[in-house]
Amino acid sequence: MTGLLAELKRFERIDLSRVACHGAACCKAVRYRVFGRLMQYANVGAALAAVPELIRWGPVQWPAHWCDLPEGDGLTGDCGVHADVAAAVLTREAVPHSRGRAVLRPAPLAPAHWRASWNEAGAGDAWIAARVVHHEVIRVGDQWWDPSEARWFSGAGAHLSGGRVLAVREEHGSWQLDPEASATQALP
Amino acid sequence: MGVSRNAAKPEAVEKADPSSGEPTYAAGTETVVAPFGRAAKAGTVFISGMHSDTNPSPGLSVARSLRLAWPGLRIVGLDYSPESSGLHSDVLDDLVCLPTWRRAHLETWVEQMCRLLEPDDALLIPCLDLEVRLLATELGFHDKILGPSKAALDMVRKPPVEAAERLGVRVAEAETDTSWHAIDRFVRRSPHGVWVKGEVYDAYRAYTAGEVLALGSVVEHTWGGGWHLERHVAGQECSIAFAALNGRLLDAVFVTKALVTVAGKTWAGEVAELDDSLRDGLADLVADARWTGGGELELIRSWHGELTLMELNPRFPAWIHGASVCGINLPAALVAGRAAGRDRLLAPGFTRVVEEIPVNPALGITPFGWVAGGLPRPADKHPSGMSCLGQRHLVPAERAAVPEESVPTPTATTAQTGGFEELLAPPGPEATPSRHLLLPLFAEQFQALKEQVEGLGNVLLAHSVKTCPQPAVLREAARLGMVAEAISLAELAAADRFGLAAERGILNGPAKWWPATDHVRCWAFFADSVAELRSLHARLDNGFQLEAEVVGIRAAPVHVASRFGIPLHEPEVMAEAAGLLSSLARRLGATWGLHFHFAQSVLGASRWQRECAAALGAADPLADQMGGPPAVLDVGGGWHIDDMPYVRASLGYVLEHGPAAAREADPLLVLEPGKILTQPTVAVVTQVVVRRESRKNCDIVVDAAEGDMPEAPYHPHPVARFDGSRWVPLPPGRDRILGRSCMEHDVLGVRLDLSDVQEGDHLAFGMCGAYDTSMAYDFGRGTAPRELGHS
Repeated sequence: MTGLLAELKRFERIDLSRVACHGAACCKAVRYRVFGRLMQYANVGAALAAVPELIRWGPVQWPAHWCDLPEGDGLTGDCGVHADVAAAVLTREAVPHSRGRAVLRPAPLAPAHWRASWNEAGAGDAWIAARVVHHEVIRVGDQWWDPSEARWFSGAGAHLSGGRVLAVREEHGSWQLDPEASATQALP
Repeated sequence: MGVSRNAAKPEAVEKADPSSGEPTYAAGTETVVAPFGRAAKAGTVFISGMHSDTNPSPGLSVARSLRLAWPGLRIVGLDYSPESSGLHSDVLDDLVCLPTWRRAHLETWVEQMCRLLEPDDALLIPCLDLEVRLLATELGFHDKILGPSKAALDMVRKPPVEAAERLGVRVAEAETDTSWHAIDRFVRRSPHGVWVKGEVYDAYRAYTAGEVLALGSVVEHTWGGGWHLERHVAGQECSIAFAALNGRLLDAVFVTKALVTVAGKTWAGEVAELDDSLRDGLADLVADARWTGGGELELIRSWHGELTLMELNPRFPAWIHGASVCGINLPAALVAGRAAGRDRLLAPGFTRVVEEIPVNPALGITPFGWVAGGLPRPADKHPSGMSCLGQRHLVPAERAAVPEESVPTPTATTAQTGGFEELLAPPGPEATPSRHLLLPLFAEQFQALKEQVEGLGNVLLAHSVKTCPQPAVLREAARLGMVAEAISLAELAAADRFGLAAERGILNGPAKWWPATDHVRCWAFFADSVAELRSLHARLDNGFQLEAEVVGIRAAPVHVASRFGIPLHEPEVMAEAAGLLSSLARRLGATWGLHFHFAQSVLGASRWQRECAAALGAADPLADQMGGPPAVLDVGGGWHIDDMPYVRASLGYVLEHGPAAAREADPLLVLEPGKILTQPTVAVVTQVVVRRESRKNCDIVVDAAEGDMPEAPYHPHPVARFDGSRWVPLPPGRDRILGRSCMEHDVLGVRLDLSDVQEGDHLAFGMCGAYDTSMAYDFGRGTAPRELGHS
């Protein structure tokens, strides 16, 4: 448990992501590109599902601006970008929500891939620990929304495609731990 | 490494089988004889592609087969998503869940795969097509990977022409040129439809060129690679699965699909040994390819028993465990590295069943993923993430998404080659868009048609006025000895004015007596419905004067839906039609005839001739009721410009397989081939107004629009650019020509290379005769229909 708590402490120091705007055409054009596309969806679920389809998951250097997202023909962003965009969609649709974070335990071989990709892009990899990773999520009602996978999940103890959710924490709230993880899956 | 399972497996206890001398493995109370002996040196076998749904990957099936052979073997499932359902199976001792290919890092993946295979007794059986290719590309030869090398994969790329030759079987006809024109031609000549096949995965059935273009885009978007077309081969689906090691065929099985899912996946199959000839051919093929690993040849067996090779997959099929439980265990043969004996008793076949299992607690259950467009995301449809791997272009492309250069096919006339540009004068000072008549092509087509019908008996050629009512063309048709085929009295009058005499004309269509008049003289007419026959009798009773030498009816197609014609295949309808026709012929003192009409350009030659023969078959029973054979058989329907070489064969088929009256009574055969004569006779010259470039391709907007060539958005037209001295055909590519109107569908050309085309350039569209001219309309020019008055 000590190991997990230490990682939680460390992850708390990562700010929840807010994509910044230069206030100029460079950023305004990209922001328009994103939200213009998301406007077409008549229901919130479809718009939220479109976020990771529109913005391919990948490394971003923080602090990030909207104009940092275009890459090749598309847009690239990490879970922080997805969460920030998804939160804006929820705000537009007047759905009460709050930002949050989760700690996932991915499949053992996965973190090496992500670290390599982030290092190659020169982006910070503080979100990747030895056996757990930090992931930005959204609290909506009594459920959680994974903005990168477009899935509802119940909170700590759930499984996402990125791994098992060991802990969740609403912004300004306190950590809720996976009971099983706290009992038997303590990190070394 | 991996996530260890908590579920305990029954301990496998090795014993000796005194009868065979082979070791046996006792699992609990069950004793299994292992005909393969020990699994060679294998201590752990990694198997990828574990997803199991109605379109399963082969991994779980391979794992079950190995478990059947060696209960004590350590089997590890490997895949790229916790949603890969087979990872939850208790057949596995362990699992490795790698990140989905959207999130994977190539070099890290290579390192991890090498590390997994470091132990001396580890093996990998890759079961995902793209993964097999990536392993071959990135790791080259690796003695722990039981998969084919890159050289072997190159030998069996799609379409598998070389493999089919070696096996002595047929190969489905394929088209790798994906230009619009080539697609249109291939689809029209494929009576049972075509398959749009991705370079490495996915196949969709299509029946029209439009469907092909749309599905090709889906394949490109989903898999990131090229595609080609294969003609659908009707028959029974079967497969040969095999295992080979370093070019030595270890074992093979022939499976005939007995039940398939709606997606065409095997659900049950008959199992048999290969015959000697196939086995020898396969042995030669795997020897030449130095094949290692599993493989599957997908075949179609015709009713006559001929085999056509459709695909060769570089991995075991997903039903492979079906063969194992019947007595041919290919995964075990592969891992043992030993050829199986053939003196074995086989169960006759297998079937699948659905089974629910609890999820592996380490993976849990992943919640539903929401979708934006209502359709599953490719990653959800393929949990192993191979589509993402395709999109990342990590595997070298075998075929570019850009159309290949067209291979010219032998054609009969200049018109069919799109050689209009050789006749077209350089652009002059006239405003564009402008329409240019290429009259010599009409005569050329007529001559070609005449040659096609030569020797077929007494044949009369009719010009379909609606396809080109231009006075010059009508005069030319008259000069060439044609008669007019009109769908209204207005058309008949126009034809008459320009030399095509009304008394030699033919009236067709559902409203041929429009505009109303009290006297009509023609050579023949064909009633479109029983109601029209009744109405004619009534009108004659009321004083309508009608002079015709031939009265006839139009037979509705038997197999395809049509709004036209009388359904003579319905006995009551035939009886009524015969009665009305018979009395009408008597009243007018005329002979009788039968007419069939359906667009050949829609059906293709093969289907058209069968429909025509079937519909005209009504002539024989009608003759019984009419008291004599028909004097005239009239066949029509716009023929496609490319299909001139098929006219003779199609008419020959109709005469041979149609009514006996066609052979025995020597009726006059009237041919109304419609647009095949007039399609090439007009070109539209236009100028480029705007050129718009994007990262992927370029669009240009021209000052012509769909109103200037109404068929252009639906059928490919050859396009040439004037380079300052001559017209040069545009090559295939990925670019589009957009019409000037505000309509979304006003797209005049697709899959062209417009890299040399600039704003202000002149382009010419060929094949703009026929309906592109006769149905052209003013749009976006500020004019109103004439009855509303011009401003």
